[in-house]
Amino acid sequence: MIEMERATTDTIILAKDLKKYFPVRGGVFSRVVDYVHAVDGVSIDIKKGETFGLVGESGCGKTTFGRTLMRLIEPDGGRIVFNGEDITKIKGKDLAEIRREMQIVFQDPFSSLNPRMTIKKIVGEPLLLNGIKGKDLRERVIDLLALVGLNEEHMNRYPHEFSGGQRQRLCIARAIATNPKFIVLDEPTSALDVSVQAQILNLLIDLQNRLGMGYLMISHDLSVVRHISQRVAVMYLGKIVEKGKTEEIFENPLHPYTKALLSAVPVPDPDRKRNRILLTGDVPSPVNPPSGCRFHPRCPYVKEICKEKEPELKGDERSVACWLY
Amino acid sequence: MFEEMRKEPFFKEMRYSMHLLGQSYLSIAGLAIILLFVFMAVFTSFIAPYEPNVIDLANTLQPPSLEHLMGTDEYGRDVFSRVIYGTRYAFLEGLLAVSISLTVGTTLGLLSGYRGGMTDEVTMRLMDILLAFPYLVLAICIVSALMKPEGGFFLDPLMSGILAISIVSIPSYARLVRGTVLSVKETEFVEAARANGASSLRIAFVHILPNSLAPIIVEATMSLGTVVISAAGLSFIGLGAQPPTPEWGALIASGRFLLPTYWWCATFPGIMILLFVMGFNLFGDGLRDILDPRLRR
Amino acid sequence: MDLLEVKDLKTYFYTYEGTVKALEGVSFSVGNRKTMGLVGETGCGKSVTALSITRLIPDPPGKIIAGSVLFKKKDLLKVSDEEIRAIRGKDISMIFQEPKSALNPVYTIGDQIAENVLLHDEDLKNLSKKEKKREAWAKSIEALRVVGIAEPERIARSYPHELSGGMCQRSMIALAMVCNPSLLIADEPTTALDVTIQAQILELMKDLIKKFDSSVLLITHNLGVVAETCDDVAVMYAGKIIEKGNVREVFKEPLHPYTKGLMEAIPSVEKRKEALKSIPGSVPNLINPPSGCRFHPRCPYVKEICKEKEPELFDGRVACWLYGGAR
Repeated sequence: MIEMERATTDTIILAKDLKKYFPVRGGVFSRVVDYVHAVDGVSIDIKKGETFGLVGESGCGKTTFGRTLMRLIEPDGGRIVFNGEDITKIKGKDLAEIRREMQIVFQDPFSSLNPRMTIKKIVGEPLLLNGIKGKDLRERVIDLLALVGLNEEHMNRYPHEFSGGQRQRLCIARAIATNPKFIVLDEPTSALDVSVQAQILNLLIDLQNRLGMGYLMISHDLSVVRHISQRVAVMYLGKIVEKGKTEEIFENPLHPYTKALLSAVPVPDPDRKRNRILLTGDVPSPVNPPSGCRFHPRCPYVKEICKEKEPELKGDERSVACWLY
Repeated sequence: MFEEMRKEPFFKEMRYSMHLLGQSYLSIAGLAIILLFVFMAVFTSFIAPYEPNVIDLANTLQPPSLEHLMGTDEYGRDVFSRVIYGTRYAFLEGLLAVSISLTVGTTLGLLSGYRGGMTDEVTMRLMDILLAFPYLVLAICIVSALMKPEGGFFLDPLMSGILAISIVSIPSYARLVRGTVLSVKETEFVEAARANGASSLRIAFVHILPNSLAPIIVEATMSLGTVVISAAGLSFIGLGAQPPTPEWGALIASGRFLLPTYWWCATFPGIMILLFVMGFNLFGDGLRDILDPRLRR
Repeated sequence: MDLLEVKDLKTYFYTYEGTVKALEGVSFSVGNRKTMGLVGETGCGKSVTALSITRLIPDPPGKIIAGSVLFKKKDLLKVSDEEIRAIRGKDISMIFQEPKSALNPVYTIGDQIAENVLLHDEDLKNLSKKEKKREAWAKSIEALRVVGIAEPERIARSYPHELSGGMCQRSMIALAMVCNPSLLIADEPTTALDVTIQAQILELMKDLIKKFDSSVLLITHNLGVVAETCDDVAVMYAGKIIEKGNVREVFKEPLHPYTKGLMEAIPSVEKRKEALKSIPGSVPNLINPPSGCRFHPRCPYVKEICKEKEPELFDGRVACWLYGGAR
């Protein structure tokens, strides 16, 4: 029914040329004066049981992409195919059905749990919405809590009694409640301390091994992405600039932005002297992205063509969008 | 069972709230005043020494004495007893008007904040229209509209006063709730509920409303006082409770011509209104501090 | 004698739930022209340390109850309020995590820097009011130029909301450095910034420290940032310093089980670790900290003595019973 390039049976979710523009309103009658090009034609595919990393700096559109992929934000263009079914335009009951199969874990474990609900209600909500009640619900919640390393006693407590790490465990328990096939992890560890971050990362890996979900790991922390994902895409101003297997990208980055990003990460080794590529200036505004290659004003290797024509993402498994290649 | 309850965070929170409240003497004073009025309203017939409406023409316009603590009026009725009975009317007006405006205002605010778009635009402009009139003037208009052309009321006059005040207090709740809903709507737990496929109704009533309650409670407490002032104002000009009802506003109205010589007829009901309003305002201020999340831990 | 010597500092917060023992005897020193890193996780007391040094602890609920802070041989905890105000912003200046909220939104960047100059600069004393203002403005433009801002005149006339996070942090640094302080306290200066901007700011700080001969107390949770910028490091846990030393020493051979645990818990960009070792449990509540060594409930090498007696900082290097006392 749907023509899909490279989409095989083991693809869980696929985004093709996904676009999201937010209107900028201004003037007296709040007319739309411009658009923020938050996600500007992003294509990825994630396999079953795979972790796909999406890295980029703040404002590059990675969070919007995650939300759009889940249909929490309506896309302005492109297609989303989930488990072989086009879900770009589905509505109502069909959408609710799909929601059961894809979930999201947010960055801030403090604002993602309703402070006025008990843990049983929070973790049980997705179950309740799927018609599970009473004793079944209770038992399932106990199972879920055990899966994420908490126990039955915690059921009647409120979120504010838990530490950041425990709260994130609760968010994960809620996300896996309906046995989803795919989970968007939106910076799940960036609000946590390193010792707790390791616990959560290990938990996520463990759950994936047991339950076989696909992950989209959105993060600005390159080391976390390297640790958890099999494939990585680097985003800059709403576009993917480089994509490929994790090892290849980290060992041999091709795009100048990826190179700079990798070299900028401080390494906890005082003897390590690296050739740091210092980028000048800030990330430009996504309202009026630069012409040609969006990275050209900050690129150390900029050529004439970069300013005029936008490079395409070339290559199959390993792809890069840069005129150097 | 009880053991378990004591461990509940709700009770811990309550204890902490009590602790915070205990630190502010003024709000404790407010609470004391409120409790005193509640006591008066409940045990009216035990406290009041005389029937409020019994005319005793032998003892008209007596100054305050041990027999008549606040003196008597031009028909010999005991002012003290009438004032005590007035407490019941004050609570009736306050609670009824606040619950009507709170229910309608909260629903409108929730709807307009959560739905946004045209719903929001239409509701809020309607509220703006209501707010464009002076509070009391609008209330007077509404009561007049409820009057028969040949004079007299369609509804009980007290009720039409309460209804008028309820209507004019709706916008403040609607705006307040809309504001809080707008900010709670953006939190991630609401988004998580959406991602779980929760319906709009469930999101609005289970997730958003309970987290927007704090400012509503404060506003309701504070406005209990002001509503009573407005109701008294309406009866003062003859548009609310009618004499001989011992409603405070009506008491002042009938006592106002006697004020220069027989000062007690209007002064004591006036003091009661003052205390009543002050009690709720002080307590409301205290509540605001307790419920302010920035002050909690 | 070192520039800053903090001895046995104790800061408590008195709250409804009880007394939070935020700092329980913290001692360290920052040498002349040295950069000292203070690392630890959320709630370990590193920011409270910074605020205690400059006496900016909100009182109530906080109180510095013991210890001394010797800065240029003067105990900052004993000087008058006026004196400490004269020292803040001139001899000791601070930069914070959120550059946007640390700058006042209703004044321009230039105004804010110039105000600091007017407050503290001795050279301006004999000038007339008008000259003072002109001089202060010139100095703030110069300060912005020093921190690598390309068009300092334009930026000086901008308001904080018109600038990016990185630009604001540069301006904050300009504001901190304009009076040529001998000690700069930087509290998580790059945490709110993106990695590429973080790299720019760290480079800039390193340059400025050399140029101005300043000492720095750098507070961060990022071990990578410490390794790249600091000479010495102190690791804090639950209100105490548990390990201290030269950066190379500590990073090459961490002694305390907590420091070791932290090093093993961070994933690396350089190579994929097989599995991350995590530290079980979470940071203790400081109202009722664990008895003995505060890390003992989470420690894999816990012994009997750890639960009973608190270890001192043996050889001024590590506070752990594995390395001293009753072995």
